Amino acid sequence: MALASRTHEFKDAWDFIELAFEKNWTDGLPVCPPTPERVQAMLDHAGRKPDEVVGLVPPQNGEATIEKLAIQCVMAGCKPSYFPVVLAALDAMLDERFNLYGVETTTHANEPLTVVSGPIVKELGFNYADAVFGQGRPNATIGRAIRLILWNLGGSYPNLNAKAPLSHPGRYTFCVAENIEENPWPPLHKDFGLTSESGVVVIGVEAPHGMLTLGDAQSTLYTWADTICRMGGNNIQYANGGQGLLVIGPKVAQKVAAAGWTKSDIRTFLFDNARRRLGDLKRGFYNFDPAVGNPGWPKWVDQQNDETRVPVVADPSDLHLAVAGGVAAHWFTAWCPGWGLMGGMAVARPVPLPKKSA
Amino acid sequence: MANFVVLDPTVDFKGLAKIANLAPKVDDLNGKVLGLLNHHGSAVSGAANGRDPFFEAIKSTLEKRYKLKGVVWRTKPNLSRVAPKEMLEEIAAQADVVINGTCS
Repeated sequence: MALASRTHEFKDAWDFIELAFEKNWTDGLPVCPPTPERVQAMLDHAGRKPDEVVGLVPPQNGEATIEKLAIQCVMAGCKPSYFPVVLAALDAMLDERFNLYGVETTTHANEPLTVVSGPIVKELGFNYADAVFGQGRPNATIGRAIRLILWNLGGSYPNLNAKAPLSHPGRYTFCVAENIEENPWPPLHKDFGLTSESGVVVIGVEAPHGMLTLGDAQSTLYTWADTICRMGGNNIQYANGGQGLLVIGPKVAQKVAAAGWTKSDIRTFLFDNARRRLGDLKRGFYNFDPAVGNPGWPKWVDQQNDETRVPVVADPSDLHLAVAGGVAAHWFTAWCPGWGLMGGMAVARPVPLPKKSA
Repeated sequence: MANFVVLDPTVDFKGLAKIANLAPKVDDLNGKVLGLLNHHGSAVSGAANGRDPFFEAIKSTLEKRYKLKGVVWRTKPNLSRVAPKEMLEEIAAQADVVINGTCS
């Protein structure tokens, strides 16, 4: 099938790269030229019709056809084999639970993170070890493709409709892979009931906040609990429905697992212990009005009693646990705070194994 | 000279008006029921009883300018999400015009 996008002619690739900035086709980083040949290779690999509509991308509701999505992937520097991961992540982000419109336009500094898990991590060559929130071609370019989709098809522009005063560097690219070799627990996507070998989980989160967890399993769990319920977090202010993601270094995960802790045990512990005394929260909160209370908290929280311990989320299942990173240190974990009850809820999608040719 | 061809990465944004049916506009507010659908009225905005001070100002301004038949006020349960279908249907049935607050 012929490609429908209009064409532009440039002197050469350098000319394209420079003019792409002027045409507002990118957000500040250079992009690769989406030549018809490269885009066609992306389409051939996916085996999808170019005019197939995946959905409307908020906030400005541009129509995401397979062709337009392939163009963004080429511009981001993706290999054709990465395309199915991008499609799975976008499909998850367009799920109503994720509230992509809100994630993209909120003043809160959450951005859509894609977590990849299962054999696809090694098949595609993701960096799942050192500096896992940093380098790796699949990590960087898949995250980048997502951003270019939100830019060119969603029309999500700072100083127009993307209203976060601060945001964070994950707005350029935000994709991380689980360490499938060292993870002592089932991969993240399985926590969502998926039966596929590989999957993606998307979640709207702030930048990872590192924490030092060098003690034994018990002290590590208390450190996690204390860190994730910090007063300034949106989670505890909008605990009723908010979520968050703990990204655990492999050696820390193995230490905790060796002490007998399952993911379910950890979630329960954190739900019970990641709490703040209401009287303390009121000292730091905006104009807490006892007559109104905080509608973001679960109904069972007694808002008339300063001794009430307010949970960071409404249910243990709102805390997601991924294992990623290198093994050089035995003591680092990162907490990725969520947006609260407004949106950015984690959504999972299966990812097919890649074709061998690409 | 120019021989390096690329495909256009952009699309025409549909916005909201192109994907939703807009109701006809009301010429005169006199004798009409005003609907106010405000976002999550909470302590964030200094609101009392789940009502936003901005909407209070809109309401008092319109009440001074027009003889409204009544005011129906609802607060969305989630400030960022679309209001539940039942709430939209209720306010649409009771009000002649609705001012919808949005906050992300």
